[in-house]
Amino acid sequence: MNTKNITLAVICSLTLSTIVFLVIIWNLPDQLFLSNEQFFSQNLEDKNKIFILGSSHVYALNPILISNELKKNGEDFTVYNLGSPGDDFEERERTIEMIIGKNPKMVLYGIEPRAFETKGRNLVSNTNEILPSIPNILELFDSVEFDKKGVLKNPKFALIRTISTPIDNKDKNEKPYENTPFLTYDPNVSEITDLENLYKNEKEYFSTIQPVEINSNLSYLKKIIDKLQNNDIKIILFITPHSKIFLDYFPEHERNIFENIIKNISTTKNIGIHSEIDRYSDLNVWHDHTHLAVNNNTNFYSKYISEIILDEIKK
Amino acid sequence: MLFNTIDFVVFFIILLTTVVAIKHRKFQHIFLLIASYFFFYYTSNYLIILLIASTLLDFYVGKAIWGNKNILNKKILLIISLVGNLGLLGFFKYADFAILQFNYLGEQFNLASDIPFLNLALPIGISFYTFQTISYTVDIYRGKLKPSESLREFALFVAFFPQLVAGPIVRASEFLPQLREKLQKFETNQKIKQIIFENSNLKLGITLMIIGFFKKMFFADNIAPVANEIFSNPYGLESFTIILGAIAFGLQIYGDFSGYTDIAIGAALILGFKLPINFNKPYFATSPSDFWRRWHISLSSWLRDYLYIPLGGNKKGSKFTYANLMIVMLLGGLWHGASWNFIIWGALHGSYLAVHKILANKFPSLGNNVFFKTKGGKIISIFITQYFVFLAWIAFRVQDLDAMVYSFTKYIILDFQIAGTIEFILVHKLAIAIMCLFIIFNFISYRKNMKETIVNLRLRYWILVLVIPISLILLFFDATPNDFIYFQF
Repeated sequence: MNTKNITLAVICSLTLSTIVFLVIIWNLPDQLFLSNEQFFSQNLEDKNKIFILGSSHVYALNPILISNELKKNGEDFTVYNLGSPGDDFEERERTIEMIIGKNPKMVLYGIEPRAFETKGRNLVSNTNEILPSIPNILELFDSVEFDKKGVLKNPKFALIRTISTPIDNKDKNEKPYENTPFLTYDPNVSEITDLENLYKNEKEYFSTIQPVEINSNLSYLKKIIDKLQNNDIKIILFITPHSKIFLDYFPEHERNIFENIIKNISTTKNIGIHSEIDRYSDLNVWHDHTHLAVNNNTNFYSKYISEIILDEIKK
Repeated sequence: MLFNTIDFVVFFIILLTTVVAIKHRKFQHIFLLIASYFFFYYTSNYLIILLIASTLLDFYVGKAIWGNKNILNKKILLIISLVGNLGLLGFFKYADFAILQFNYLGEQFNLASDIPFLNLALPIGISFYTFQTISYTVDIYRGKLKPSESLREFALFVAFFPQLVAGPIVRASEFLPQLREKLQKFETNQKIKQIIFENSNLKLGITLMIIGFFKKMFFADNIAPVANEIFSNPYGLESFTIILGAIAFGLQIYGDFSGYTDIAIGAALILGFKLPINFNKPYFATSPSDFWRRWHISLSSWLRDYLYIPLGGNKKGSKFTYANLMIVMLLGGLWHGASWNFIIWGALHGSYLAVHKILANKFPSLGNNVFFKTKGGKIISIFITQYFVFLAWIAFRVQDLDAMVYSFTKYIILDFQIAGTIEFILVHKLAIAIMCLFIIFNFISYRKNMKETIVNLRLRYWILVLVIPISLILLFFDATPNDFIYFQF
């Protein structure tokens, strides 16, 4: 056995593994990408579009109600709630080009503290650089369009999503409202849980929120903001409302980090950030600690968002 | 530069190609040194100055100690080296921790002391390379080691990139002869076709690197969310969930750290250098002292040789032995990080070792009992030992003291509730499945030397066996990878 044979064997192993990898990745459906592709391949004819992004925390936003409110005030926009359960910035960044391709006038992104939690996620390496820094090799690949599906950049997330999707699959055809392609109707979320019961029965989990300097979620959100701004699409961030119970249990350390994150986005990206985190916290309108119950009693949330949009249009 | 990045793969391929192209060993070493500095600079930027400073200090102090006949002068020189190294380590790693404690005490005694934090960046690998350089000067002082005559060689020993940031902590007596031996061969004009590569090393090195990547990227990184989710806020969780979290973290840190070590040893081996092993199936240890003969071996042997034995070891009677064990483990805990949870972790392990020693002294017949030599006895010993090892991992993982106490209580006093645990398992089924797979993987490794078996396979089977971990590594590749846990130390 000589060095040449071993080197060849390694190349063979790598080639075979790459083939196995590509076959699996290409054949397993990447649910996120496919559902986005399906929606964005439609011809959305409306000229004035507003997209709302976010996780389940924007579930209670009725895009039709918001459109109607805007119309009442003389603004003709079609609003789409593109919120998707478990939305995270890294995944969203993979599909942001599709959003840009539809040329919306405005994008509103509903964010919340948990969107910045670590949950075993990565940290952005950061040192206080005094001497010149060396570019990251992976960043060089960013300019190369070799990846139609966006999967190769980060196969892990696509794979985990694919593995978990068939298990969690419910009837996804029924929608809570029109223009909500990625939300699935769930009758349970209309139920209001009494605040006292929330205190008694539910435990609040918190993962660590990493500081501004190393928070990878933040860096992905900034990438999204940059891409939208570079395409002249106005982006507005709003902090989704949370119940009093959540706010009472929200550790001070994490709260400070979250506030720093918001401050950092606001100063570095020069965008409007509307905070509603405690706007409805005392009201008896909560399904759980962080989600408003979705029924007619919580239409004020949609109305409030339409006010934000109107303010931003006037600016 | 993290091992689990594309950057490292590119770096390593370029490095290997260049090393092969350079036919002169001396230049190869120079190139390896430059590459190692580049590796460090890539992540740590200006903090490379500390590495170079530490190298220069110990190279010249080592020479001076060796050349000096006067005992007092030797001692002074050794103290200079210790103060320099420990001063760097103390200042960069522990200054803010000390300030925090000082301010807290000031507050307790109404002294209105409010010293601002320095907020220094922790230089990556400082705990490792300072220990290496300390062992170098101490060995010279003890007359066990002749100082390196070449600054280039010594600098390569300190900065050699595979072990630079997270060990294994290499002794100069293990590493420097490897450089000299080869140079001597070269200088005697022996014909060496491949200057550094040896085929057996190459195959073993590649296998080790792939196993290391597999442990880190497939196992540790995918198990991490379980431990993170549980210990970020353990209040209200059931006993079995806490136990699950402790097991998850124990597996994560083992996969993470031993994975790093495998990559380091493998990379070094490909380049023709042998680094000491750092892990030997620690979760099959049958006693606390056995655990420390199997876990982070390079650190535990360093602590034994440069702290425990100088303190008197077990030569000054049993009380001193127990005290020495506690001191060594407390400092060992503190070495991991400037935080109380690491000190508690060290204290727990110190007390395990001391209690084990007390039991062994009081009941000498217990150790020789036939039952403990049987399979059943061994299994019981392993379970008891690991119960305490995993208990201590809670201290290592949970920084908040109240949360730690809650977790300890739940771990020790079982509540026998399972509804929440089942729900948790269902939500994290993929991670739990990977945990189970890792346990099986370790069990097979315990029964059979997996690395050796793989290396001894015929080339065509070797190719096929490697396809499995490489495919899983690719499938679970994360563009923004998780740091290795031990990088923070």
